[in-house]
Amino acid sequence: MELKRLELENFRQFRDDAITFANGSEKNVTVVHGQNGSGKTTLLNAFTWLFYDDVDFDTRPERLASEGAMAEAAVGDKVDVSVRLSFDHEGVEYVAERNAVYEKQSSDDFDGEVTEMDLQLKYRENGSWATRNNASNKLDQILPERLSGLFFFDGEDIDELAGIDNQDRIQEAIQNIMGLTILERATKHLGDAAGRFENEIQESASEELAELIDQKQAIEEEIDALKREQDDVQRNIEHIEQEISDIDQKLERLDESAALQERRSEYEEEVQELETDIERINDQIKEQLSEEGVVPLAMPLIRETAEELDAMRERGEIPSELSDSFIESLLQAEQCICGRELEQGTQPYEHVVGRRGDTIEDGVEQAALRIVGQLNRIAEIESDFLEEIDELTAQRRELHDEVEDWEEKIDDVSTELQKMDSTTDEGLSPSQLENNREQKLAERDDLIGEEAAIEQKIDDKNEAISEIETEIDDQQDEHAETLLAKKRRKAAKEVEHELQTVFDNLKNKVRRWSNERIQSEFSEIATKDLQAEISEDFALKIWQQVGDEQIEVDKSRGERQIASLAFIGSLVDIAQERYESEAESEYFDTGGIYPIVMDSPFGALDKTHRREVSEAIPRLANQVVVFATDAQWEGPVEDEMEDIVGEVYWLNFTDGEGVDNHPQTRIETEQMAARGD
Amino acid sequence: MRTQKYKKSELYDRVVETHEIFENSYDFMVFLAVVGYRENQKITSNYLGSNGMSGEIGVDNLKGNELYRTVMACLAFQDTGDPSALVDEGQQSKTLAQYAAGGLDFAEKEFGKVAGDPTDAIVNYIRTAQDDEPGSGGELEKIVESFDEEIMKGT
Amino acid sequence: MTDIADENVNITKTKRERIRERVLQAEKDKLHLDNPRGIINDVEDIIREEIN
Repeated sequence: MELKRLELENFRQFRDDAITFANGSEKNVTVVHGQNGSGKTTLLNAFTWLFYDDVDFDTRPERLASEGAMAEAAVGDKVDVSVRLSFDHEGVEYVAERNAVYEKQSSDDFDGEVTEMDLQLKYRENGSWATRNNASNKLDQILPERLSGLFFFDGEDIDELAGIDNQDRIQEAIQNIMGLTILERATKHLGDAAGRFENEIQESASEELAELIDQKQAIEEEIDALKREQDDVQRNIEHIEQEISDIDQKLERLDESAALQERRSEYEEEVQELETDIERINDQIKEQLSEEGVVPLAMPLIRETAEELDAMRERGEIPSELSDSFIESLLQAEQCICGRELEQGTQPYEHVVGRRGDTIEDGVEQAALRIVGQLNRIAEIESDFLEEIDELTAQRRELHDEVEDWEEKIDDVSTELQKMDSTTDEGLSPSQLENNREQKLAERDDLIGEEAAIEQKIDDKNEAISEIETEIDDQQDEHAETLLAKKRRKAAKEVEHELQTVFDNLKNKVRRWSNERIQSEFSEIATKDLQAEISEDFALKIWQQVGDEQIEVDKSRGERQIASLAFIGSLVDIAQERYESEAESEYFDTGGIYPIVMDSPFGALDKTHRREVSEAIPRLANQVVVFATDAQWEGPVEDEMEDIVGEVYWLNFTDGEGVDNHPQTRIETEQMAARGD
Repeated sequence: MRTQKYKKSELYDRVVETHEIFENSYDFMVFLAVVGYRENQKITSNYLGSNGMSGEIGVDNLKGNELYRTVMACLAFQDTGDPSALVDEGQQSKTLAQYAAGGLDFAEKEFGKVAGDPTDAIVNYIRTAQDDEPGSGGELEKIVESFDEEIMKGT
Repeated sequence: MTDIADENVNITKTKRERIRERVLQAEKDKLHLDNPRGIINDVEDIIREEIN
């Protein structure tokens, strides 16, 4: 798919404007920049409205029709709202257009009421235009809705893909790009069918068995309810985090609070880095514990045993001869049981050699000797272990102290912000925003606690289920009907499992595929010693090479953003490669060539990262459309992208203050804008 | 391959899987056995765990680790007082499972109830146990020296 | 998932493959639908027919 031209009529603040997109292999990037509120997000929404009748606005989502047009209209008048997109797809020219008619209900009605909605898809065949039936289906085929989130996105959130606990989003994205809806559905439906057969087992089964199944199903329902509850809580957490990040952005934009907010972000990054360090130390403590933690506790046991064995040996209760094989093993290890080195030609070595042939018996005595002989080594491990643990604990304490210091500074920033209660031109005060932020943080923490509690409950219930299942399996039931239902249920479950396994394997294949691309892309753009990958559990992780070791790092927002973009880019590649391979399948969609349209990919990044991201963007897809604020666009980004940008537009926004004025944005090409200045 | 059943509880999952403190279940099991010995808690009946609450490990995993071999031999010797237990694999596995079951009961009380990651609680336990020890070194050196002399004395 | 050890309820490989292929075919027929109505009944029927 190749975007050619977007035309807007009375769509939000656009009255009658258009964008022609850059395409071609050299300059494939279209940039639209403007101040905040000038309509960047509206443009992103124009795409989703046209394709899927779906919009996502923070403010006044119900007001789709231009406020100006509604104001000019008389009661009962109709206002046409439309978005029209011309594009090429598989060598065919298309024009898609969505129209909505809004009728003004009263003199102060600026929203209007939809009276008509219409979607049309035209295509050119043999030079003349024809209309497609079933426009919405065809559009969904050209750009599937489940993929739209991957290719039309808000760049300010994209770094979250590489955040913690976003395995689900990564997995979902991979599943979506695979296009194996058929396997997803078949797996689910087999599971549903298995459930029906389970009901049948229950109906025909003995009372005892029926009772067990009853119990199990009741618990399963409870788990479902808990999971729904958990989803809600998670959504709330995400929502609140979004709100917090929105507040952060506002604080960053206000002149009064910008410096403080920036400082806070820096402090928070410090804290995050320290916490990664603490995590690493914890892992080291665990490693020590696993390998040697048993030693200090075992020491008295081994010592007592050695003492007793020694005494018995002296009393002649254990034959004291050494075996040849034991001596050989000492010589080979070049170490005596006492720990002394046995270097060939030295006196101790000759002594030991001299004991060869003394021996008659193998076994008990040898084992006793070995235990006594190990005492030295074990004692050494013991003191090393304790030293190491002390050292690590001390380091960790220091890091915790540092974290506390930073957190104090973060608190100070918050206190200062809370004192700034003068209202700015935008009608916002830092103090208000900050108080709001504090409240949100508290809410979020409560929710995180709540979620953990739900998780615990689900774990407990799952354990209860596995116990009941053991009991169900142990039940011998003789009814023929029950047996048949059992068998059918089993068949459904087995096929479900088989398909799930196949699906998982394919998903892993795509994951590895995507990984190769991410790794090369990321390492080229980001700082040299960093690498990104999707781990086996589908987490997008960033590694740092330290000596021979790879250490997972919780890097800055900029690096996370680059990793996330590299991931999206890999999916675009995969879709394209599958499309070009000309694989024919009636079972799944075979990819496609997709453009990427993103809002604010440079938000909240420092200069270095802006430059890195702007280097990454043109490589993401054949065609890229970027919306940015003026401040984000000017400077390094503009310089960096000069060579690859084909079209630049400026959103000329008037806020519409004063009588008979309404907010309106004109889309101007850069040259016109320059003339306008 | 020979295996040994052992008593299990949810603590194993927490320590080995959730918090990855011990790398393998058998690492934790040996640890628990030593705890059991130290706290004088041994379970001789039902030490294999009931259905759904038991685990099984390959004895080879234990034998492959010199330290674990030593611990098992010592436990078996202490338990039987018979030096031949030092080479009796069956006896050693059984004693290990019995002490591990006892240790598990103790550990449940000691750090099983800690919310979150019990690493620090385990470290603290080791440290406290260490402080209870009479000063080591003296006895140890004597033994090592006497052995040293044994094997080193000239013909 | 409840595993039933009972010999009487073992499913042969051929049966499993037949069920798998038929289910996939049924899914394919309704793949173009956003909401494949009645598909669970279809799957259920396939299993009933194959296992009796």
